[in-house]
Amino acid sequence: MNISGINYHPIIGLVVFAALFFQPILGLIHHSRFKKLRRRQIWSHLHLWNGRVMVPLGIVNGGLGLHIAGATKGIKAAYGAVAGVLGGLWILVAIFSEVKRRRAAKQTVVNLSRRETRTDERRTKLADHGRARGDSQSS
Amino acid sequence: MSRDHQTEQQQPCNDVCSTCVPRWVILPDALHCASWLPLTRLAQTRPVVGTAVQAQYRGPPPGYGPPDGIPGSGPGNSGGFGSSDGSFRGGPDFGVNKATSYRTVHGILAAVAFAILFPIGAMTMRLVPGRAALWLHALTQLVAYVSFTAAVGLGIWLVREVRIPAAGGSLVRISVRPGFLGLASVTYSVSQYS
Repeated sequence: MNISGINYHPIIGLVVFAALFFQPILGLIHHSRFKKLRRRQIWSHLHLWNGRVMVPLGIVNGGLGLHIAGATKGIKAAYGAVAGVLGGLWILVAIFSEVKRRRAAKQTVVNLSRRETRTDERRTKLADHGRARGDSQSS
Repeated sequence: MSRDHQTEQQQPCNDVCSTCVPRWVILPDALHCASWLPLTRLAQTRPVVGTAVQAQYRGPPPGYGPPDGIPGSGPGNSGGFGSSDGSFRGGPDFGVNKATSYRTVHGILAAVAFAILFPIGAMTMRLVPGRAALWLHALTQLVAYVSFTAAVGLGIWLVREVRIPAAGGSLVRISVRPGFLGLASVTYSVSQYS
């Protein structure tokens, strides 16, 4: 196979390098905000998606590097296998974890609304109301 | 054998490459260059003989050693690649060995970071219970990023230092087929290593 023209390998590498530079900062901001609000903010999503885009891009760039260096099939296969298995596991873990999160969040919302309607209807005491709020905070 | 090729091709190379103006040359033109030709010839004709160390390479230049710097001991050990016509910036001492080992380390560091550490670090946040998740995630990703940073440094060094073809070539441009890129035919084939 003949590849001529611009070598994208160093360019992609530098883009990924620059993008991942912000990951620790975004992660720290996410953490401090999440601790207070218990909710994901823009920083959280930037941190998550920056990693989700840039790390696979880096994996592909590694394959590209092996290709233009003329690495043997064995090395390419080993790289692809390791990156594929761990990358695939990551995707699975992320999906399962997100689904679990959504379910938990939904459950919280359902519980909350149920309690609120109950409190509205029966006009229970203030102590009861406080317990419901405490529950929602902990979950 | 390689010596014969070099003396044979020295003249055409100087004729062609001294007037090389473009920053990159497509493969057929580049083949005129003496520093390239023995390599391509060797790549085609060199039998896999000699020591195991020599056999690691598909088409090594004469006197060419493995990444860890052990000098090759096979036949045709005299005509160095970089020293034959100064095709690399950095003079005769510029080692293809050095560049190749740097490239290998570059690849290993980046591959460990991207194929192993970054995915594992991403998963720790989800799988590790409690506050340990945060620290393990941060630590793993930081180690991965440091490894990647070292790889980027080596990569920048390679792009700056390796000039193929000699007249202002750059790794930012690919002008040759895989295996010849950059460190021209320093194809590292472990499959032959036995």
